Amino acid sequence: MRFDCNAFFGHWHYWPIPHTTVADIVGLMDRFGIDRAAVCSLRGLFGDWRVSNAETLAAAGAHPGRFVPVAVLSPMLGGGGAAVGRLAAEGFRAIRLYPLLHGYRLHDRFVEEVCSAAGQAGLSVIVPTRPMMNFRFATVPIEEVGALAGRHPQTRFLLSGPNYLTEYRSAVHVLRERPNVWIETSCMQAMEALRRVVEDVGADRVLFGTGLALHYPACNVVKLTSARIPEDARAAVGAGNAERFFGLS
Amino acid sequence: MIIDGHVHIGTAQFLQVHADAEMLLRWADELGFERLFCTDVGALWYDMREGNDRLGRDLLRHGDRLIGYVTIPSPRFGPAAVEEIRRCHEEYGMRGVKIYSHPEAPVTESAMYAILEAAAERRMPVLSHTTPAECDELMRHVPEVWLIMAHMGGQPYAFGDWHRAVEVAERHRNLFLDTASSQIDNGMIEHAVERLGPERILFGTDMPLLDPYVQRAKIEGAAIPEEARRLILGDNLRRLLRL
Repeated sequence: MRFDCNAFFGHWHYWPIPHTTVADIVGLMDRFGIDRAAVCSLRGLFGDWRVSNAETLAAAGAHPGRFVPVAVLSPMLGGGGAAVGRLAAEGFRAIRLYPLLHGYRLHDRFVEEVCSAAGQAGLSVIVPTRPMMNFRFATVPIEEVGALAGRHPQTRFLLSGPNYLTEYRSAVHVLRERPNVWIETSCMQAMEALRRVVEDVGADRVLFGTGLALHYPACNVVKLTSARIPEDARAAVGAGNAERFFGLS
Repeated sequence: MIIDGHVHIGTAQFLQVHADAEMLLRWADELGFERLFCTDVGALWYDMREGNDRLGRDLLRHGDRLIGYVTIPSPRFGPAAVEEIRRCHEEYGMRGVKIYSHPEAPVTESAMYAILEAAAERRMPVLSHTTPAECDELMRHVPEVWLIMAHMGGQPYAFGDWHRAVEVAERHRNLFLDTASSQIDNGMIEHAVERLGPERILFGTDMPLLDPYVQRAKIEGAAIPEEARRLILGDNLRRLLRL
């Protein structure tokens, strides 16, 4: 069983990507043995988050066994703590925050409201430090994600996007300090990164993520299959942890 | 035959890497890589001659598996760098040249041309950690050199711009692209093959910094013809190096 915690459908305006539709994503999942994915429309990163969330919900409704819907919220267009309850009622299992793309900081009042409401509603919060593993994008400081998680200990946070070197060390520091912070693998490209993170912080807060369709799914599937970690850790990272993170088990 | 065209050996705190030949060859065996084209990171980030000699000793012990780049830290070493290429080529049989461009010492300086010319005379490809714009400039001055753009734009100084890397390579028939990178952007290999053909795309991992399984999967999972995959994974370098 593989549960991808970091998947997208939709368009990418910086350059054409080969897979954009929901059907494309299901095809990639089938090809690479991914049973389930926490999915989000890419529209939410740049356009109207309300339309994005409606698209995501429709995709999840069309593929209820395959997709877990993840919403995007921003301070524009009525986004805020009050919207969180509605998203939970609609079936979303997590909320993505993109401060660098949506014009706010992680200590903004909007963020405090959303994270507080998410904790109360049982929704998780995903903070991508970069939209994908491409060096053209500015990154959210990992320490700021750690500080945010410290202010909301009842809310689960996913640190998405750390890669190697300083980023990795900062991420490990945050995970050791904050038991409500989890991490995903899609941008971790260092040699034996998965083994190291499992050894450094344990296997129970590490999630398998691909970043499809922005990334090649094969690259992250092989990260999981080739890692020199115990089989129970591989199963936890591959799927079990995601079920707990998204409140599905 | 898979040839990894971008491997680091030695110790460098800058990259937090520490690898000897035996360790790298154990990984190569596990991954099914027949040859590793290596550069010594000590030569890159401390002492050119000391590092190249260290790699030279590894080549004497593992000449059937390891291929050596003569590592040049910066074009500012000028005539000494040209002499180092001669020395390592003749003493150790090194087959390529590695150089790293960074803001503190960029490769786009006139002293670089003699280095590239020395490599070209000996038919040694030059793996250069450079931006597409830097490669464009170097190729305009020394068009006969086989220049390999390390990371095909997928590195911080180049802002991850593999589209620009391909565009520049379209202008220079002796410019090659190395696939090693943190970037695993869906479609990047297909784009390069479509625009350049597979003959100028070279597989590399950046081991032991990057995960070689991930780097191999980037090529093996790409939607390209099998013949293209075979060329990228090894046959192109085998042709260049006359292996």
